[in-house]
Amino acid sequence: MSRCLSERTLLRLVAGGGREGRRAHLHACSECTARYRAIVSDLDRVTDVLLNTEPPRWAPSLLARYWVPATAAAVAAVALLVWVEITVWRAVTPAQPEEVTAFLSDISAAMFSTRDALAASDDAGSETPADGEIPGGCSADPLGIVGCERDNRNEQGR
Amino acid sequence: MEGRPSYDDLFDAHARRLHRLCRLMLSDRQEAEEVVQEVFLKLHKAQDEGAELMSWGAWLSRVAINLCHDRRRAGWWPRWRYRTDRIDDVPLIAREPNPEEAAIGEETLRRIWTAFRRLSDRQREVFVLRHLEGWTTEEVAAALGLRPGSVKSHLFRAVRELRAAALQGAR
Repeated sequence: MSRCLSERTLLRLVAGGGREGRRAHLHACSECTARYRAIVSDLDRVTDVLLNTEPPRWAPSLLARYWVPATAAAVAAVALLVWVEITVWRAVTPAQPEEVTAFLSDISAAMFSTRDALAASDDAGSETPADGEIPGGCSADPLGIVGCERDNRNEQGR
Repeated sequence: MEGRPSYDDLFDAHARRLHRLCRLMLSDRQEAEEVVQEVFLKLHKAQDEGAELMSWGAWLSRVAINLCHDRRRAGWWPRWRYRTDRIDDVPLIAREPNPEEAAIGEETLRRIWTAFRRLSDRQREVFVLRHLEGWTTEEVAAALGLRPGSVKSHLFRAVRELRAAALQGAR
């Protein structure tokens, strides 16, 4: 006599599947028939529940109701920001570093030219600054309040 | 020869059954009511147009199933958005459990309903039509546009899950 059917096979037979040989065994084996009937009885109970009872009230949790949309909105906002940064912002501002570089070079050129002019005037022994030049002759202290180290050293030397 | 059944006769005979069918397929009472109204609207039109059918019950079931499919295809957002308790659905007075509910127990009921809701749409449809409506495998396959083998396969998975839920409750 063949072995008894597995639970899985019995479920397949209940669902209308399974091979003919298995079905023949089911009819021949009292033990398998009893297990088959137990499954059918369980399913009858399930059917009774679905037909005759009200489904339990399904209240969506606060998590599902508020946090899920909030999280989705936050992720969407971040994605939008990243997209704006990558596509729009960088496309609009590529010339900025060149402008900054040009501006800085203008400033440094102006500063060094002033310093050279002051050094030239010091060498000539002129005490009165020329028009448009910074009084005091020190690039680090253009107002001449503190004085500067280079100028002090020059005076001590004299 | 028996004459064509009237609209009222068909409504009395099938409205309750169709409502239950749609509620099980859609898991939403309000949506099920809307679908049933639509089904009977189609019945009214069909009768006005003079349609003659062998079985109006089977025709109504097919129309209901197709409308449930259309509802599900409408998108996840409306279903998710309105899947909450409406104020008129919330019972103001506690309902007494019916004999079946009292006999089975609240925990088992909850487990079975949860398992039923966790089934895929297809598994749920197949189980409802095969076990609750009593259709044959071939009828289910024809109504859902599936092969009989697929129907058996979906039914096997549904049966396995639901039986596990019922057994868990019995232990």
